[in-house]
Amino acid sequence: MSTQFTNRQWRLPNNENKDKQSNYSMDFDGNVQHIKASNFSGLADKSSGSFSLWFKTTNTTSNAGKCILSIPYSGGGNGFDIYINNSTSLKSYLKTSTFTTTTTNTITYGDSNWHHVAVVYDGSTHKIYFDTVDVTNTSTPSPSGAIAASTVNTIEIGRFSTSYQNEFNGQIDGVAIFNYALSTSQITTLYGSSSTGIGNPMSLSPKPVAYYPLGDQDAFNGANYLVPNIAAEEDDGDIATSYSPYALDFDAASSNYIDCGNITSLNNLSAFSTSTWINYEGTISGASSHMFLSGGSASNNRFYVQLYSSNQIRYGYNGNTIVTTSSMSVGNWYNIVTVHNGTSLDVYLNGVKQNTSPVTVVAPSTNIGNNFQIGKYFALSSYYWDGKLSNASIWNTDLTSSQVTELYNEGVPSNLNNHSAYSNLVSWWQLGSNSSFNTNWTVLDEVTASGNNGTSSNMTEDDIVDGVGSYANGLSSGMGGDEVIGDAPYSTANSLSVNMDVLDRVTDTPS
Amino acid sequence: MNNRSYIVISLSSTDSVLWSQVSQSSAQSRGRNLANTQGLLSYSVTPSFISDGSVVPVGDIMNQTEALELLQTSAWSEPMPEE
Repeated sequence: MSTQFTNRQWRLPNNENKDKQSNYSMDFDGNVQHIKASNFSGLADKSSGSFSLWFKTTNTTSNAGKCILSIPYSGGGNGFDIYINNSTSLKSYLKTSTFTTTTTNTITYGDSNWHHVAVVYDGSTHKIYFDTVDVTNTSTPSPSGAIAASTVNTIEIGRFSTSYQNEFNGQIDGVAIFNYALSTSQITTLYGSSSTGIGNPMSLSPKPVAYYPLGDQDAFNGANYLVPNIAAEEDDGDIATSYSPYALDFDAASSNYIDCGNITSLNNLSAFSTSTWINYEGTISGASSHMFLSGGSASNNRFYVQLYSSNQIRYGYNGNTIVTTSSMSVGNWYNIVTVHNGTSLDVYLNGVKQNTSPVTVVAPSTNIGNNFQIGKYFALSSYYWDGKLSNASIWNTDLTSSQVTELYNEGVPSNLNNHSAYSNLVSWWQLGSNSSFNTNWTVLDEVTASGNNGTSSNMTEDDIVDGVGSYANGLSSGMGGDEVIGDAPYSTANSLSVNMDVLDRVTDTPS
Repeated sequence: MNNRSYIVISLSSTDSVLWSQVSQSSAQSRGRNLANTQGLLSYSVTPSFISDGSVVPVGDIMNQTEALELLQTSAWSEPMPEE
């Protein structure tokens, strides 16, 4: 990974490591610290499965019995785990129709070096690979049948999910879970090399059903780390890499909103478009709640986009119109795109045009870029958004239907710097990703030329939340904000900023 | 619904509010009623200025749903002008 900001720090890898998959890891104290990811169903009743991770420790005595990764089975007991057996071996549990324990041969792991572990169940054998070598010693009894993971599991990184708990002491990195048996060549790919770094699990085919990079992308919310599973799920069930793993959570009753100032390049346009990912909460109160974008200088010189009911979007201009949409429900993400071509309006929900014929409107008002706000109506202290918002973008053109489909990207926000209409992108706020908190949230406008960074009002650091398309995201427990370490397999001396925010990156450098 | 608590205070109590202990950023940005006599605050941990009685809430402590209902009333929300 190259230099990037994730609340609260810039992560600036040693230049020789900038192209490596992982440069940061997480440090666990062996006492209370662990990461829990809920609502994982990727291994439920699969006939085979695997996981891959890296760990590093010098503690071979008190780490005995301590768990690195645990996925419980439906009865709540140990389902598919790896833990420290003793000072010279590891052990794995597997629950199928039987309960199998597999122990490694004698290995050396407490040497302060990073070691890779892959545990593989192929339907009849349960093996442990240590630094790509099959070190399986005993596997008793021989397993068979499907993995007895429940349909909704809690993954625990750094301790057992059962009452044993037994927290691990050391560093963990790159936890990936697969719903098939990894081949030896795939394990070699994951092992990587000192010159290229560890392998990227998302490059394998099939992709993992969960991938926690650990360290590189974790955001601190003031109390805990959000540990994203970047194996996001598209609407057709395929797995894709989540470009923007975070969102911001707006509380209407606390008057939360983002002020983006005056976006002068949005004024005096003949056509323009907006895209926003919305996830609403609360009761929609027609005209008086749930506005997510607005801008203007007066009630006759403005625009706004508002959730008017669970199946209606209201679009304000010099007047307003209501477009009936497919039904939306609380707690789900939707991509809303408005396309205003100067004389008519189209509204898209998840890439699908909702109006059967163009909605007649007048030309965009001249000052719609003034007082641009996310989560509130610009002219009043009212009509706040309640729920989550992510990846709001505005465009100085009427996007085509194929460009809207590209924005939807099968339900996973993408890097708009690569969008086919990028030259028409006026501003883009990821909201959560590339955002920093210091009294208020500063939300980076990704389009440098306009630079209309947003500033929150009345929001708190814990308003950063998991983003669109992601599931089974992790949340740390017992960590204080200094557990991300600039050390990963094949990658050392990577730096972390102190007391810097997302705006501290500048383009003015020595020539 | 979140787990925050919501209170209405008189604007005359504003000087006693410690903004680091509430969700709102400042007196200027918090919600206030149309008569400009009361403001709405929210918090996760009871602020010291409430515990020690420096600020006495107007009415009961509310949850998020109750606060949203209050904001929908005519005393707190004015209709959007339509052209």
